[in-house]
Amino acid sequence: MTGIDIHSPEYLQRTTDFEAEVRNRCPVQWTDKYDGHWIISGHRAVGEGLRDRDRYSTVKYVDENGKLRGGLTIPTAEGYRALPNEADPPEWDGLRKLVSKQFNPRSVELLRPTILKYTTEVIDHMIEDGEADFVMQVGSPITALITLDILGLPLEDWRFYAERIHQTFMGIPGGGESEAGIPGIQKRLAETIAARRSKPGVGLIDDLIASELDGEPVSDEIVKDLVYDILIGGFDTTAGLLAGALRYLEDKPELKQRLIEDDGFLRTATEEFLRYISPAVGLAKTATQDFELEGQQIKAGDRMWFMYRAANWDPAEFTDPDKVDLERTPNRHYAFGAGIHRCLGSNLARAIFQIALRQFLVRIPDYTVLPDEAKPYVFACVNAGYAQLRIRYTPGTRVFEQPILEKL
Amino acid sequence: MKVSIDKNHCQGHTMCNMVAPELFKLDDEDGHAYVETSEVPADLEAAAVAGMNACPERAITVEDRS
Repeated sequence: MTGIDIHSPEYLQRTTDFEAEVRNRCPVQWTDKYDGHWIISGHRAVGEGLRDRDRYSTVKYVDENGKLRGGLTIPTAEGYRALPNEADPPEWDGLRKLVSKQFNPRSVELLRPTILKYTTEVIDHMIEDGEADFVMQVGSPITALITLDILGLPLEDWRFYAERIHQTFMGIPGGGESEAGIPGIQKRLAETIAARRSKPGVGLIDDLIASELDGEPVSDEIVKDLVYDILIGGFDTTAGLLAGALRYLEDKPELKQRLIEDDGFLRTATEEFLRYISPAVGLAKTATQDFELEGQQIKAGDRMWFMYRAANWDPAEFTDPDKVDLERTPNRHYAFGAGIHRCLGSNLARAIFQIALRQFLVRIPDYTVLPDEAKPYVFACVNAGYAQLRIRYTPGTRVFEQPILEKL
Repeated sequence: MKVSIDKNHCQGHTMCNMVAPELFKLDDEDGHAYVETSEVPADLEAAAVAGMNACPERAITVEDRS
């Protein structure tokens, strides 16, 4: 029995050192915290577990004692169901099909002008100021506006969603403060979907309302759960990746220049930033049967915590994992997870990261990060993003004569 | 040399296409990888191996019969 606490302040402070100690002790180990769960931290074990379609579940359920169990977090987060993430095959297959086309490489290619448009817009809003919070003035609005545009939701609502999603990374899940923002999102989505069913607009939300699942029209409830998953997946992860990359690049002008000029380098660098930063730090599953994983006996019903970042920093797979090597190849990271729940938006995330990073480096080449005002999320084990990251830079000029939004 | 992709394991990471786009193509519908022919041209043998090594799902198999 060990008492590793994935929500401890020590984890938040020591992040990857903490994960290294966990991994060095044993790549698959038990902790008695949060009603007991396994911690999977080695690259091989994480990969095996994520790829296994048959012996794990991500469904949220109420157990025999009336307690909410399962789902993507430990403890189980309340107030939402995220689909297709919190569904198992065969239900998963139909749900994933409803949303996968919009995020495939071809669709993402067509979204490049949209990504560039919102990146330009967002930077326009802060470039004249000389100082900004990268999180709420750059990273979050870029990812939020693009996600809302794809869904067909009002752009003016970006802050409403972003602030509530940020809040879910500010505390331990399971009925507390971190879930306070969720009912507001759920209510607004339910109202929007009902309104759009009678008066359709243009967006993925309307496509989902008009679509069928097993020959039946998709219910409003399922549309809401699909949209919710896209919102929580799309907002903070890519923003966290951008913030981490800019922090790393701050004092490296040669690398910045090469990223601007060299497409191939930008592509391999993207994978290395994904590995090194691992914006999605970890997620949970539940075992559905008894089996052995790396010599440990897993029992049906056991909760399993998969540390994606610990796997991405495993020296058994990566040489010098704590070093950033922007030409690292091969780079079999699990930043997007693996198996059937592989991040739906991975292609979009890469495109946003590459376009936004380049735009930012070209337009704001001399930024500095104010280290005392960099505040990581409190909920360290799920998202490697920041609640705040203040930067200072030489003011520049706007590109758009007419902004899309008068005020961000 | 022969290359094959296990369609049940490919999840559309696109890493093979990233390292060897001349060999590994992406399906327009689901974005999953495919090869036009399982016979690897001699000049693309290194690309086939690179694609196999890049796959996080271990879905690509390369058989060297020479």
